[in-house]
Parts: sequence; structure tokens; C-alpha cells
Amino acid sequence: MRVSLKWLQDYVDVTVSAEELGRLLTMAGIEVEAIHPVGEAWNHVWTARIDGLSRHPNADRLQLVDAYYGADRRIQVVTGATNISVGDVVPVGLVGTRYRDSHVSPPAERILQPTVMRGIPSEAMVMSGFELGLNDDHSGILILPRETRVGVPLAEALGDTVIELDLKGRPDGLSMIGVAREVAALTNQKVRFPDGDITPSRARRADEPLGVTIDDPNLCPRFVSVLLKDVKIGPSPAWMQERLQAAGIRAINNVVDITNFVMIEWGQPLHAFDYDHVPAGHLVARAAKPGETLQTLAAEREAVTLNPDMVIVAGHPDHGGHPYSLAGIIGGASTEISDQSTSILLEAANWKQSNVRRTARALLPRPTDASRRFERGVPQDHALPAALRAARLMVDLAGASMVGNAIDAWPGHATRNTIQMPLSECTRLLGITYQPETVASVFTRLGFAFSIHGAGVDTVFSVEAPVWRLDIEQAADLVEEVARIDGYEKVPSTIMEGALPQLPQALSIFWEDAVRDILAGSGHAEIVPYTWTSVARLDRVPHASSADLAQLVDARVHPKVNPVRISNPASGDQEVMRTSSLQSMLDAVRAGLRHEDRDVHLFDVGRIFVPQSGDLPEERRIVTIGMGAHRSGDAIGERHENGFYDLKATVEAILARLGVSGHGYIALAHPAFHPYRTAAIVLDHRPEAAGRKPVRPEDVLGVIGEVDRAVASGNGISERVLLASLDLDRLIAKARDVVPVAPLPRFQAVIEDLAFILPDAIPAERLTSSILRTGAPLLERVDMFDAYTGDRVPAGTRSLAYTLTFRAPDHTLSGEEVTPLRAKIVSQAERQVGAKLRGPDA
Amino acid sequence: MSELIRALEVLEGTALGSLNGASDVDSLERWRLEVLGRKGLLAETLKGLGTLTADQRPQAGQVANRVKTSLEVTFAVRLESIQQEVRRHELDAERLDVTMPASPRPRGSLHPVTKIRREIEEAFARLGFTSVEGPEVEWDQSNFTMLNIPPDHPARDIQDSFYIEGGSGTGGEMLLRTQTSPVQIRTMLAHKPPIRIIAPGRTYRNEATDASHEAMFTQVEGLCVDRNVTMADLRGTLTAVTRALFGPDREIRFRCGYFPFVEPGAEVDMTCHVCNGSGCRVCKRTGWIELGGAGMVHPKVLANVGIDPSVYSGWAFGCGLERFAMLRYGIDDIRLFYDNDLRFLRQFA
Ligand SMILES: [Zn+2]
Repeated sequence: MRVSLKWLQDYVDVTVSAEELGRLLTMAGIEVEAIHPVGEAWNHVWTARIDGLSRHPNADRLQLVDAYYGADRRIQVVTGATNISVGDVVPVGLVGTRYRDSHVSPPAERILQPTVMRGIPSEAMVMSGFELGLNDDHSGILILPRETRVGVPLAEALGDTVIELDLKGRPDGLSMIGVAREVAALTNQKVRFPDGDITPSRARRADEPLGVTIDDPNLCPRFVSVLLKDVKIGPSPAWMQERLQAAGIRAINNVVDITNFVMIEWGQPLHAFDYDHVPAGHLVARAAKPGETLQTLAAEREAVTLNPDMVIVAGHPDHGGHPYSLAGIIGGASTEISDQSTSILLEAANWKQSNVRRTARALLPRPTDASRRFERGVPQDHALPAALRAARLMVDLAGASMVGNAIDAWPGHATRNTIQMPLSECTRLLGITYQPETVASVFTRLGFAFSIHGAGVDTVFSVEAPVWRLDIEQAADLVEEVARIDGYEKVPSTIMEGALPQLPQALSIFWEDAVRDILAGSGHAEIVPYTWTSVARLDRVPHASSADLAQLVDARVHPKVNPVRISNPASGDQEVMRTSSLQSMLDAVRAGLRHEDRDVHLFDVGRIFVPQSGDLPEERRIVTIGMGAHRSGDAIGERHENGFYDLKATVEAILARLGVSGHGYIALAHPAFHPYRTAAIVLDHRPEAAGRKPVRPEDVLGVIGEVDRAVASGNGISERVLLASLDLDRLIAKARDVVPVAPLPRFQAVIEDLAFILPDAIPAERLTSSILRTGAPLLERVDMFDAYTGDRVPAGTRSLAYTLTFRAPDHTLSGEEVTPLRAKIVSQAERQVGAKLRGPDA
Repeated sequence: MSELIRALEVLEGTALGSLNGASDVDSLERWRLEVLGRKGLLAETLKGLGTLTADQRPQAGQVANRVKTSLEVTFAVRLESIQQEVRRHELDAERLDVTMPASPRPRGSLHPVTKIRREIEEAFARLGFTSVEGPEVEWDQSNFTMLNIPPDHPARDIQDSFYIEGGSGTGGEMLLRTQTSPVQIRTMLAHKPPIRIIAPGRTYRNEATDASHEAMFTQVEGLCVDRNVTMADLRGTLTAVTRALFGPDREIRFRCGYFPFVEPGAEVDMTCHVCNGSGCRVCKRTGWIELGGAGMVHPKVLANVGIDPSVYSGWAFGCGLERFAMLRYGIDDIRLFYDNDLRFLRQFA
């Protein structure tokens, strides 16, 4: 809300500077968004009277203005404006005037220079509100009230300071009186209430009926109606126009201006109906009937269709019961005040917040000044004083006579309760023990009615909840009032004394961070992609089509489901929550490759969203790793290819950190990946049973592999890309942070190297597993140290060389113990997996 | 006798001369064998001692000792200098240009939001706070209603939400949570006081994006509930955490502020860490930097989760992690966080 200090001074003496006032209000919870000094830039602008107007001899569109600005000073001004006439008082800017130029976009600040316009010198300008920086009106020259003194600096005539307030939590702040109350409390001043004294000019005659019906006091607790006749529509006086302008409201005519003025003054929206168009002067507050329509006064003036959730003011059922206005929001065309109106029916009512809010949102592009107030809450008590204040202004400024007394229907009278606030409540909530006098002084300054019971620390304040502060309902609210008026800065700084809670740390956060550290430590950069995406993007990574292992992998990290859809997305790229992290990783890899041709190694520890019927979606934690085709070599300029095994090493590092073992890799055919460079990562893996025992869905952890060339290029990448994606929730369920330490061996080991020739079709893990099982328990470990494919081995095979470590826990092994075991390993390897010992000649 | 002495002196002269000619370790060793060896020239010459009379011996012995020592010492010095020369050559051959670039090794990096979250978590952990999580797709009930923001409350305007299509159920409508505060609700429903938690997490608001606003962002929420927990404790806690992050000179200021789920409520500012409060570009010349919102948990919120507000009190605060990271690392555009530009991310290595 824009608060003119000039206007505010009508209700309270402002005893501090605008800046200090801004600071006080901000500290007290009414945030000052801006302070606009009005007229600061008007050093060379004067009020002037137009004494003559003539056509420019060389330009039809221009006029020559003879402007008089006091003390025999005159100046000739060339203008293109057409809204001026002789006798008008206007602002005239002399050379050096700073003004806003609306002819360029965006508008620019300029300084007026002497110029010659079509042969006539011009050393001044008559100015619009826009050029002055006063408002956004650049349609014509700002016409000042006729009674404005001519020949004074404009700042003297119009200068003001406007403070812009953010009032999100304070309904009463949407009024001058509300702000005045606050200023009075903060600066220890008194509030002056506006003059609402009025007695009817005469009683109502029989042909001047007036009536109000309230259908549901819950929807309309109070409705005040006043009849005003002999109204002469015309402009409102300059002081009122000026105040409305400062508040950012356009002046229209005296009747409309008065309703707006009182709305801003009291915070009570008013509406004026044309009495002659309201049969029997009877207004009904009721819920709309299905299908009823109303042509509103909103800019578009289109007819809106109503529903029973909407509350309207309508005519009496005996007279058709037509809808007249959207209650608390906006008027309707059929009862609109026109220049010919002479009798008006003034409404000052109270409407239910939630209905006003829903209706305004449903029917209008933006809230109105009235609906914004009602949806935040307008005190019921303001309806009558505001109505009478408006009536008084109508009488004073529009020549109206008030006919009969106001009708005040108040069936929904809400009683405000009395709140008990023990002094100790301040201590309990704030950590401050106030003197009872301090608290009493705060309540007095705020204008709250209260009584004091008890004494000292046992003092209890009984406070009548003030009618104008609907936000004050309980003791905690009063504690805040005390704190903010006495000063929030008085809250001391302490630390909780109580026992430490025994709340367990979320393990998920711990493990997520452990995985992040492993990945960052191994050279990967963490990315955070948007969790929303589009279906088209998701579709750039295909799903498995056959019912096999690939589908189990999909179900785990790349489920083919209807994604969680956002009903009001801001853009097409935000239409669904991601069901997979693969596509966003490809996007990030592509972006990385734009800047670098190597070391594009990324990871994402984030969530995918899997819908669950009737419940919130499952938010599954996924770790995703992406690698471009190359990494730096050890030497300068050297570049190595990234391969499957590089990524596998990273995955192994993660699994090791999580203490997961017994997992394995099964060759996987998946349409998003290279057919022969991709694996499913599974738990509880037994190589000897691979291929024979079906993989259980819950054992699938994820996928690792090289992305299919076509899929990569479909995602804008023209080189090899490696991706791994693992279900971190599954991993966390298996994770062990503390793995018991194995004792260091006490006896010497026997080390043997063995090389085997193994057919390409047999996975290496089967040979390793065969060796291990045969050698158990003396065979402590098996490490492959060489793999060879080429001319020196038969086609269709490769050579795999292992280091075998034999050790007994209780004695040093002898050659006699190892030799037969070694022979058995060799023979079993041949029997079980078809591996042949590689001779020294090969 | 003088013959023997002369012979020794001649030997010394010639041996020293040939020692000077020995330029490597091998020729030195040959010289040593030839002169000082068991069957070397010196030993041969000294055999003459045996032919001397007893009274001649001391003088000849003296000369012999002097010559021997002279030869040995000179040899040792010479050997040392040649060895040094050799080492110098070896090292010289290993000379590096230390200004050449390091071996390329990709450095990993943590996202700035991860880094700042951990710093905040660590600061709170010292005060006994544990980190907890909640879902990003939430019920209206937990995100709004239970937090004293009933349907049709104007505060819902400040947090325009993304709703989920067809998403309604036990907790009302589904939406992308607009704040991490629903984690407060979930925690208080599941645990009895005392409670000290912080809840970092992703949040979403339907608002236009610019240099300081993102529709997806990260918040951290803090909650402390116990008997006699006060706003002063809130100030003390935030002061400790702010100092841990932004230096020991930081001060905290409360302004009265409105958030529906706290009463009394406060906006929290800290003295500017760039200018120390004297006013600069970062703090828009006010000397203060806004950190977030806070306050005492609203009695209605406590009652909603079955905690008696007349027995227990609590405080809560919330702030944007990106905002903290922007202040901490001097980032001027929030959109950089989710652009995933490697040139930006690598700076957090
Ligand atoms: Zn500063």
C-alpha cells in the first residue's frame, strides 16, 4: 500500500523523518519497500496559469502556450498536448528541468534544453504526470486544481513523501487509520479519527423505500445501507484527488472518489448503487444461484456466470432478484452510477474472507482493491463509521442529502474475546522478563483496552482483543505486540539448556553424502538437474520392450510409468517430475562437452518420482554417473579413452564404501545401451549359477554401460558416453558403515601365478569363481594380473593370468600342501568352465 | 736412514701428483690399491723400516706416519669431491622446469548447495541438531493446513504452488512442497519433545525466474521444541551458526515479521560480512543482510501435532540455501546453480 505522509498527517502527527519512520515500521513488522520523495526533482518546475493558447504557425499539431508563473514572469511554451485550455493551472518546467521521456522505451531521464520547434524557440515545457514522475499518465498535461497558487515551485504545491508498505500479515495496515494507529504507537502520539458526524437531512418518505436482507449471516455478517439523494456528480476537490493520486488511484468523480477515499481511510470497501435502478431500494445479500450471470464493471465488462459458492448483492425477489454486484469484489453494470445519477445507495458490508477470495480468483484476472481487503479480513466494526464518513463527505462535497437513518443489519455480530496474557508468557516465549509497566505502556500506546491482575512476575493482563486487529487472537499474539513495540532488539542471545534430544540422524543423508564424497574424490563433478522435465525429454532414453532382465533394470532406475504430472506447469519443460535421471545426465554431459573435450565426468545424487496409486509418489534416491569419451592422460596433452572398466572402477568404489559385497555384473541387452558393453548390477550374485537362476527383482541395483550411439546422438552427443545409474535406496538398505576388521595374517603365504586359456564365451568371473571355490579354504585370494587376446592364443579364446595367495591360519604352508591343491584347481577349472592351463611355450 | 725418508718423500710427491690426475672413481680406486693397498707402494717402502736401528726408527716412523696420513687425507678429500661431482651430474640430468603444468588429473567437485548444506549441518550438529528429510511431493495438509495456512488463506498467495494432476488423497491435494516446513510437521507427529532438527531439501514455487529467484530451490528449516525454549535461544542459535559460516564478528538482528506458522515471528538479518555493517553494494548500503524468516512455533501448529503449547514452546527458522551459498561464495545469479555448467561447478573443487 502507498501511504502519503501528507495524508497520514490528517490522522496522526508524524514527528520523525520519513527515513526514521520507515525504519521504525520495518523493525515493527510493517516492511517498507520504498520511500518515494515526491517533487524532489522539481527544482525548475513552477505552477503556471495558461493565459493564452494559439496555433503554431508552422505545425497543425502544436500549440503555443502563454504561461504566467507569477511576479510578471511569462514564458512561451510549445506543446503537442490538447487537454489544456485558457485558465488552467499547469506545471511548467524551465530549462534544466529533469523529466521522464515517455517517447522512448524504456522511458529515459532527460534534462530540458532550450530548443527551436518548427521555427519557434521553446525554453520550457508544460508537463504530464508521467514526465514529473508523479504517476503513469502521459496522455496529457497534469491539470492542477484551479485554486492552486500560481507562481510557486511545484514542490511547494504538490510535494509529498509516499511510503510503500508491504502488509502481508496485517489486514489493518491496508488503511490510513491502521497505519496511523501503528505510527502513533511507535512514536507515542495520538490518533485523530476522521469526521463522521452526520444527521439525516430528513426522514424517508413512503416513496423512498430502503431495505436489506441477509440470507446467511455466515456469508454476510453485517450490511449497512445509506440513502443519499440530490447528489450532483462532478469532480472531487483537489485535496481528495491529490490524496487518491498519491495512493495510486485514479480520480473519476466525486461519488466514486469518496468511496475509494473512505476505503483507503478506514480499510472498509464501499459500493455505491444507483438508487433509481434498485427496485424498492432493497438489497439482498445471498449466495448466487447456479447459472446466474452478472455483467461486472471489470475492465472487460463481460458477463460472468456465477455458482453457489459465490456471494452477491441482488435485488429483492419480488422484483426479479437480479444480481447487482459481486459481493466485496466489484459492482455490476445495471446499477452503475452514471453522470445522470442523483440518488445513490451506499453499501458498507462485511463478507466472508474465503468466498471473496475464491470468487475473485475464479472470475477476475487480478484481485480488486476491495477483494484484496476482504480476503485478508475487514473488521465488522468499521462498516458503520465508514458508511457515515462517506455520507458526510457526500453531503459536503457532492451536495447530497442523507435521507433517513442508515440501515444497519448485523446478524453475524462477532464478539471479540478477552485474552489473558500472564507476564510470564513473555518470559516463556521471548526470554525477556518485562516490568508490568512496560507491558501496560505498550498496550496503552496501541490503544488496547486492558486490565491488570496480580503484581510483579505474577501479573496477568486481561486484554480485550481490539476490533481493528483481527490478527490478534491469543496470548502469543500479544507477546509479539509487546516485543515489537518495545523493540525486538531487546531479545537477548542464549542457548537452549534442556537435555539433548535422542533423534536419530537420517541415514539417507549420511549415505548420500558418503557417495558424493567418493565420486567427487574420484574426479567427478556434482550436478543438480531440475527434477521436473518433459515427456518428450524422458522419451529420449528408450525403455526395454521384452520381459527380461532389462525390464527389471528399468523398473529399478528407469521405470516406464506415467510420470507425476504438474497440473499448472510454468513451461513445457516442467510438465512432469522425472522418472529417470538418465536423460538429465545426458543433457549435462552434452553441455560439458561443449566446453571440454576430456574429463567430462559427472554425477547426480538425486531423486526420481515413481507414482503410487492413492498416495504420494515414491521418491527414489538414484546415483547417476556420466562420462564423456576421454580423460586426461598422465602426460601433457595426452588423452585416454574412457571405457566400461573405468566406470566400473568408480561403481566398485561406491559399493566398497557402502560395504556392499556379493554383487555382480550380468551382460545386459537394453535398447538405450551398447549391446555388448552394458551390464545389470545385481546383488546376491553367484557366478556359477548365472544364467540358470533367474534374477530376483529386488536384487537388481541398476545399470552400467556405454550408451547406444543412436540414443547418444538423439541427445545431441556425437561421441561415446558412459552411464551408470544405481538405486541408492536399495544400496542403503544393504549398506554397512562399520565392517569388522579382519586380523592381520600371522603366517607366511604361498604365492603362485597361473595362466589359463578361456573361451571368449565364458565370463571371466566363472573361472575366478571356480578357482576360488576349489582352492577354499586355503586359497586366500585370487587376483587377475593379466589378460591377453591375440596371436599367441587360439582364436576364440583369451589368456587370463592370476596370482593365487594360499595361506593357512595356524601354520606356514608347505609345498606338499599347495601342490595337490594347485593341480586340483587346474583340473576343476577345465572341468567346470573349460579353461586350460597355459603352458610356458604359449 | 735418510734414504728411506727421502724415498717416502719422493713417494708422497709422485703419489700426490698421480692422485691429482685421477678424475673418476675408478682411477681413484686404482690409485688407492697402487699406493695405499696392502701391497702398494707405501707398504713396500715401509718395509725398509725393518732395516733401521732402534734409534733411527722414531724419526723415520714419524715421517712415515705423516706421509701416510697426508696420502689418506688427500685421497679422501679427492674421493669426496669426485663423488660430489658425480652426484651433481646425476642430479643435473634430472633437472625439471618446475613451472611446467602439473600432470592433468580431473578434480571432482561438490555442488555449491551440497557444500553450504554441509557447513550449515555441521554448525547445527555442534548444538545437538540432527538432519532429517521429507518428500518433495507433499500433501496440502502438511505443506499448508497443519502449518496454520488453511485453504483460502491469503498467505498461499506468497507461495504459489505447483499442484499434481489427479493428486488428491488423505492429505488433501498433492503439490510440490513450497517450503521444507512440512518436515517440521512430520517430525513433530513422529517424535515427542525435546526435538532439535534441521531439514534441508528441495522446494518449488511457481514464480518468475530471475537473477535472485528460481522456481526450484533449496531450503533449510530448523526446529527446536522443548520446555522453556525461547526466542532468545533462537537468536543465540542463529548467532552461533551465522558466525560459524560468516565469521566471528557477525551479529544477528530480529525484525518483527509475519509467517502464519510462527508467533511471535521475525525476519532475521545479520551484519554484512563484506563491509562489517558500514554499508556496501552487497548489503544495498544498509549494513544488514536478510537471512530468512523465523519465530516461535505458533500455538495452533503445536496443537495441530498434539503438543501442548502451554507446556512446550519451540522455535523454527527457514532460509534459502542458494541465498547462503550466494553470500558465502559471492555468486550473483541464482540460475547458475541449476545450469550445471562445468566451468562454474569446477570452481567448487
Ligand atoms: Zn555491506
